[in-house]
This record gives sequence, structure tokens and C-alpha cells, in this order.
Amino acid sequence: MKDYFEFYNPVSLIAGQKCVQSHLAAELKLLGCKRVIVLSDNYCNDNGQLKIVRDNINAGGINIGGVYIDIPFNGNLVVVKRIADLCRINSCDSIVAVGGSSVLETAKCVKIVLTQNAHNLDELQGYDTVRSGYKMPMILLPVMCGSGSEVSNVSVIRDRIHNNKIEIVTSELFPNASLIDSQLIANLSKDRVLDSAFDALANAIESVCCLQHNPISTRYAYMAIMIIRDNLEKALKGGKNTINLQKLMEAASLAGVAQSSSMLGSVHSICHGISIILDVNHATAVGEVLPRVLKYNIESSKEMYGKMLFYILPESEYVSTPKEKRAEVFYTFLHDWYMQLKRGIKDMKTLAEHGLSVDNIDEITGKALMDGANLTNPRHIDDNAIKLILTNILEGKL
Amino acid sequence: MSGQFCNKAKIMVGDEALERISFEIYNCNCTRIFIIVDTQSVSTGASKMLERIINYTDVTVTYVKLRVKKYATIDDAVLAHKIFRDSKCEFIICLGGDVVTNIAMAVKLMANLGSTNIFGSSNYVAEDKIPLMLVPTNVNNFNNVNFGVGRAVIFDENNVSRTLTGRTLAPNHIVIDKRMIIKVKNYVQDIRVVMAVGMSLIALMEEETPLSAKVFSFAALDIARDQLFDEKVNLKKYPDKIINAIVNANIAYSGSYLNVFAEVVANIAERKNLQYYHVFACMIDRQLAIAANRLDDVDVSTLGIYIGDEGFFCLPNNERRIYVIGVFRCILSKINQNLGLTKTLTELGVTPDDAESIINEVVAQISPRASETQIANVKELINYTL
Repeated sequence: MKDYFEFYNPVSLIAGQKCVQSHLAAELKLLGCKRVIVLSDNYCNDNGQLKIVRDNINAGGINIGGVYIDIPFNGNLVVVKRIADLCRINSCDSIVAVGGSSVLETAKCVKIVLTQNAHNLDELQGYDTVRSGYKMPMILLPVMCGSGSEVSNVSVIRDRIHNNKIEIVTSELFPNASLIDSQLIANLSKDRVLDSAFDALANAIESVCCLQHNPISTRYAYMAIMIIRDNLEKALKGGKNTINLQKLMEAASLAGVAQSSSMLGSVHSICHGISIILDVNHATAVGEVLPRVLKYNIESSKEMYGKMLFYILPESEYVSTPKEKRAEVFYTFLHDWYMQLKRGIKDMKTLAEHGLSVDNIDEITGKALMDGANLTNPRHIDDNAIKLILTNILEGKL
Repeated sequence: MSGQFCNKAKIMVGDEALERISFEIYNCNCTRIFIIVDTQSVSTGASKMLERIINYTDVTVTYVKLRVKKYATIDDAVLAHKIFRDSKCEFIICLGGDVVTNIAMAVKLMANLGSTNIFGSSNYVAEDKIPLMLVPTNVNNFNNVNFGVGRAVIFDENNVSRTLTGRTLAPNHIVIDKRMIIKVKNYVQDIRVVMAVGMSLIALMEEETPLSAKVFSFAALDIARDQLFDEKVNLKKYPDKIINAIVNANIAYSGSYLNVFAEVVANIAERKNLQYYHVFACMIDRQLAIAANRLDDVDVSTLGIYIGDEGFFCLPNNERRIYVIGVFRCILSKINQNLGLTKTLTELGVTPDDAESIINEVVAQISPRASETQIANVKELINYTL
């Protein structure tokens, strides 16, 4: 298996400040869209992102056949069904979604329900269980800089009945295009910027280390790590200039391309567990989980950590770090960097403050162990290892 | 990254790549397969192997075997399309080198358009209805290398070269399997290394290349790394790696919007009836020297870590560009020297009179977006290489 790899990401990635104005309607026309359903959430409705998107679709002379904004955090199967029905009733031929990963992943599920004529998403969960259906154009516009959902073939959606997350991985989930425009992210709070950027960083790092990595996804990941290194602190300092936020969004998309080809590992399985039990955003957990899982995986990923250190540290510090120390410095730096940036943001909560405690460690571990991401983790992970990682987070130990 | 980039092809590389074709066909819901092969693939047994694998699945196969010509012609494309249409096929597999690949792309375009009138229309086709899978066996004429990109070169009824571009030409799959690659002599492999590395570096140096296209440049360099830096590597053992590097480099090369260098090389090759790689190899050294200052700091630094020379990091910033490009220039020049390729355009028969019209034609080709600097660069490139 080591001698074989696949790389696939057919998404047209369009990036630039104000690219919504210059490209959205043109791209819809190119795809032959005549009647669009627009999906979003209350956050985007209140903060103006939805308006920007609607105005530009209207300006291009394309009909909006429906707008749905009641997509809840983490989405859910009932909402997917409701939106699919709305599309059918209003004869919508394409989807435009603007929002965070909950909105984008709901949009992907809607697309697959419609193109596969499916009634139960349960049947489609897993890896590549879906055959090519009829084509339904979809354009995604992220308002975060983390998950990379806008370019990936993965959708994770909440099943509230079983208090679980359903994961579907298939190339049928790829959108036709993604528009990466920082005007959609301009008023994102600093804690969300930090957590999103570390989410993107985790996507990039895991795609280099996990078992399905390949030369192309690895280069996507390196590029993402470098951009985050060069822009995260500047973006957190704020100001009216959104160029650094634009760069962070682009980095998140590059990391998303990488992870959709090489898949993820136990950083994500543990974060999914935390997200379900504590009802927090998956990205909230990444900053604290990432360095600890990297430490756990070190024996199988030492060489890769050493290489990635070049892309995360200032060059002079990389050169002055002895080769045999580079792997250790890599995850230590990530831990210290996250904590330092977090301290600089007022009232940013730790996972313990979000509710992580000795009482729910077992439950989180159970959820994390069920997650498919463990299969591609470079080192086998068991319940004891996950419990130790969660305990270390509680005790503030790396 | 500001800009737009899309690579529609699924790249499948490795020893078991061929065995996965059936799964892809199944996934696309297709049962009637059109296979277009060149006679070279038939004589080497490659088509037989493909046939055996496809026959395991429940599909109907229509074969077209094309006698390899020097270039892809519209007559061959129309003929192949007629067979495709009459047999009601839904999926195209192309096994062969660049000529048959160009024909397969033209067939795909005709099928998407529902017409054989393809010149000038490719950009306006919205829907990509027919999947195209490329299984490369060879790369000969680099002018036509188009694995992974929506670009085909077809000779029309008047024997004039016409370039087709558009999303609906691009392949949906590229399958690189060592068993399919035709064995070639080491010098051909050397030429391929020069092309892969040269195209990758040029893409990095173009001003408007999006980051996501640059990724493919670095991936190509990674894949070709052993061939570049380890003289003990027997190139014959890794034909699939080199083809893979070329595919990646080609995707990056085509992602750099205003690739003036590519236009100049193509112009001279066509004008003087020369092999594209010959002109490319002759000019690459000078182009690298001229364009080195266009590399941005991050790419220079990344190339520095790539060449693995710790001494690079002791250099002041202003010397790094020259140093890192110098390393590549040395390697490529050495390969070119061993191949006995000429170093100047004059040796290839290009005269100062030609130079003037080449400059005018290339500038006309890239206008109105060509900047003053780009025009100056074309002039400098040609004059120096003369």
C-alpha cells in the first residue's frame, strides 16, 4: 500500500478580497445554475455576510429559489431533510452556502440527499459508499479560517437521536467552487480566529503525519503551515486591514485540500469526542489537544515533525535547533505558542472552563474511540492513551 | 494566493493503480467504455493488460487503436468520436503517449458539445458529461504535454496547429502505473527530468501563479528529488516517478497564467520544426537566471531547505536567490551537457531576424495583459540565448 497514492481535489479555488463580487455570479452562470437555494445561519444573517452573497447573486440575474438560515450549530439530520424538501418544492438546481463548518457540511449533506435521492443519511455514512449521482452545482463560502470544509470531501453531521456524529467521505461531496474572501470574516472575534487557525494547523499537520499522506497533500500542508506562521499573530493584533485574515482563510483552504486527500488522525477523533460531550465547537478543543497527540505519536512521526519545524518556526531558530531535538521542539513550540496567544485574548476559556472534568473523561474517550479518524493515525491509540491526554489537559501538563 | 486554480483530475499513482480503474468506472455509474490506444501500446502489451483488468468488470468495451502520427489531427479525432458515438459509450480511457491523449481530449470535447466543430468553442461548454481517464505510457513531444490540464493541441484540416482549452477537456483521472510505462533509454529519462524540474521552477517564478498551483511545483520537485541529487539512481528503474513528476510540474506550469516562457519555446519549436524539449533545454538556463529575482522570499527559503544545504541559511538574503537557482542551473546544465544539447538558439538555426518576429508574435499572443517588464524579459531571454 505504501507504493500507491491518490490525490483528488477538483474544487475551483477562488481567492481574493472582494472575490464574491467579482466571481460568484459568473461562476454560477458558468455552472449553468438558474435557481439557487442559499443556505446560511443566524450569525451570517445578523452580521451581513448573507446579504453580501444574496446581493451578488441577484446582481448576476440568477434566481434565488429559497433561503434557509435556521441551521443549528453542528447541523443535524432533521434540518438536512427539511432543506432537501425545500429544494424539491422550489425546484432549486444548485446550492450556495455561506457560513462556518456547520452550514457548509449541512449543505454538502443536502446535496448528497438530493443527488442520491436518499432518505436516510445513515446508509451513506462511511468511506466512498456513494456512487456518482446527477450533478448539482454547489458553491461554498466560508466565514471562518479553520475547518477547510469548503474544499473537502468530508461531511460530519450530528445525529441528535443517537447523540453521535455521522461521517460521510465521498468525492460526491466536493463543491464545484469555493470563494475565499476576507470581507466575510472581517468581524470574527479574536478567540475564534485563534481556534480556527489552530484547527487549520491541525489539519495540515495531521495530513503530513497520517497514514494516507502523499507528496501533493504534504506540499499543500507545508504551504498552509507557513502562511499561518506568517499571519496569525498579525491577524490577532487586528486593525482594519484584513489582509492577514485573508491569508489565514487561504491557509485553511490549503490545509483542507491536504486533509481531504490524506485524512486525519487522533487529534480530530478526540476533538470530535469533546465537541459532542461538551457541546462546544470542534475547533475550541484543537489548540489544547494537538500538541499532546503529537507528543504521543512522536515515535512514528519524528522525521516529519523535524521537517515541519522549518515551516512553523522563524528560520534562524530552526537552523539553530540541533537535528535530534527538532521533533520535540516542534510540538513543544505549538503548545507554548497556543498558550501564549490565548493569554493575550481577554476572557478566552480553557477546555476545563468549558466543562472538561474527571467526570466526563470516560464518556469523551468512548466517543473518541468510535471515531474513524483513529484508523489513519500514525500510531495505534487506545482508551488509556486518550484518557492520559485528556488528564494532561486538565492538569495543564504537556 | 489571490487568483483561481482548479485541478479536476484524480491522480492515482503506484503499483496497484491499474487495478483501481474498475472501481472508478463503477463509481461513475458507467457501463459502456471507450478505450483509445496507440499502436505502440498494443505492441508493448500494455493494452492487453488493461483489457484483462477491465474485463473483470461488467462493462461493454469499444476499442480504437490509432496508428501513432507525429501530431494529433482533427481527422483522427473525428473518426474516433464517430466510433464513440455509434457505440453509445459513456466513459473514455486513453492509453498511450501525448498524441493519442490529445485525440482523446478532443473526443471528450466533441462528446460534451455534441458536435465535431470544436475549434473555439471549448470554453463555453458548461457541463462535463463524459469522464476521461488517462493512462500515460510515454512522453515524447513536450509541446503537447497535457496530463492533468484542460489543454489539447490538434492539427486542423489545413495542418495548422490549434490549441483547445477549457474545463471540459481536462481529464478526470490520471493513472500512473509502472507496468504501463514504455521503457525508454536513460537519455530520454534525463530529458524528462530537465522538463519536470524546469517547468516546476518556471511556474514558481511566474508572477501570477496561485499558491495552490505552486504546490504542484514543489510536489514535482519532491518526486524527482532522487533523480536530481543522487547520481547513483538508475533512472530506468523509476519511469513512473518521472512521469508523475512531469504530471505535477505540468499542472503547475499550466496554472501560471501568463507563462511567457512557454509561449516563446512553443513559438521557436514550431517555427524551426524542432522538438519542444530541445528548445526548452536550450533556453531554461538563461530563463532561470533572468527570472530568479521574481521568486518570493518564502519560495527561496523553501527551495533552500529542499536542496538540503545548511550553508544556504548562512547567506545574506540578497545572495540566496542566486545561490539556490544556481544549484538548479548547475544540475540542469550538467544533464544538458551529457545529452549533448546545444546551448544557444543560434546553433538551433534561430537568427536575429527571427528574434524580432518571435518577440512580436509572442507579445501579440499574451497582449493585452503583458506588462512592460514581461515584454522586456522576452527580449532579454531571446537575445541572450541567441
